[in-house]
Amino acid sequence: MHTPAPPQRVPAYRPRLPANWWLKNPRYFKFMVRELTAVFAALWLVVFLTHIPLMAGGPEAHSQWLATVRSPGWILFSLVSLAFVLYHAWTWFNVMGATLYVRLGKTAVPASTIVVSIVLVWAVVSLVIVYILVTPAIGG
Amino acid sequence: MAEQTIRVTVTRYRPGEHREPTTQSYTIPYSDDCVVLDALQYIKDRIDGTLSFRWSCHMGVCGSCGMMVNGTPKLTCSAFLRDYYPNEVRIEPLANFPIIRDLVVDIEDFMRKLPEVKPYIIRQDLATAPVGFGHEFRQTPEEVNDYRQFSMCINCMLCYAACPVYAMEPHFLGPAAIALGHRYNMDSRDEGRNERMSIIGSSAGIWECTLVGECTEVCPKNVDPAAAIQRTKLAVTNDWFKSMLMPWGNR
Repeated sequence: MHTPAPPQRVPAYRPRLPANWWLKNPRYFKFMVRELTAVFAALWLVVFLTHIPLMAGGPEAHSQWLATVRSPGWILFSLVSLAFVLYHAWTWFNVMGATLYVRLGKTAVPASTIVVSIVLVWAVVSLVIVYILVTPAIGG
Repeated sequence: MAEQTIRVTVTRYRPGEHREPTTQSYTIPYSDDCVVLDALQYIKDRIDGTLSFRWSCHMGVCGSCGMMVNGTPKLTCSAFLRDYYPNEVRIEPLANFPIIRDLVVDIEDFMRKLPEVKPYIIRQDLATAPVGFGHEFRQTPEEVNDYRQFSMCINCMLCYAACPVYAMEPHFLGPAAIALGHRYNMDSRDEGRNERMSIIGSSAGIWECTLVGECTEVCPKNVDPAAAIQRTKLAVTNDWFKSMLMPWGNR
């Protein structure tokens, strides 16, 4: 008996993701900005951490370091980094509404309640840190 | 009054004939109660019978008719032409999947991944449990609510088409599979969490996800796969800390 040959399947076409995929959707773009903020946060920390060993070099090295961090370039870089880090923190706190699932008795706590409470805790902790840092600086 | 028309541009791809997909445009009658799938069916019935596309229920339940409509993954049976009219509607096959022909994609990869997360209730006592009225594994409405949202998935794969991570890392388990695994992990009747976590918690699972969040945006059933992935990341991290702090604990 003649057995028909199995049908030859032509391989499917595999589309490639274009390099500009993240420009095609505003939400993809916001995602890329969020990822970029981490680069600034990391850069700032690396620069800051590499300065710490300079402290061991005595008062002269320390005052040189102070001059560096008071330069306009460093202040500008710090401000840009701060803006990015704040944006990053904001996106992170927002996501907590979806991440934390808390059921109190019969009802789940709404995402908005979770986000607002976490942002409040964040604000209080930030204020405490600012208070601790600023008080000795103004001689309190 | 002249009949209103709308221009529809469709991806065409014939394996063996075309080296890569091309497009073909049709001008068809427009009415405000027509969906994109109606437009495709009009073309196939009246203009060009060679056009291939998948569909089944025409009512947003089966999950077969997912395609890219003007660049966004949509169920074409639920996407109304009036939301695009008078502009052109561009219909492409679901992104991130190999194209078999015209608007039909190869879903083999998802079909292989889905059973890996064991999307069913696992219990040691299934074989010995008494069956029949009064012997169900009971749940309170609150326990149902813990997973209900994630059980709404219809496997339409729009979330895979929306996910740039899946596009770049094809081994990624993907949003729907993880959401369905999470659905059973959250089920009070289930005991299979540890079995699933070896797959879901692996490097091809939740840790590939960088939280673009577009899966949740495009989901036609409000499943929120991004939340499922985030919650699983948290759960796996908690598991790890517990095993570190209490190595004697029986997880």
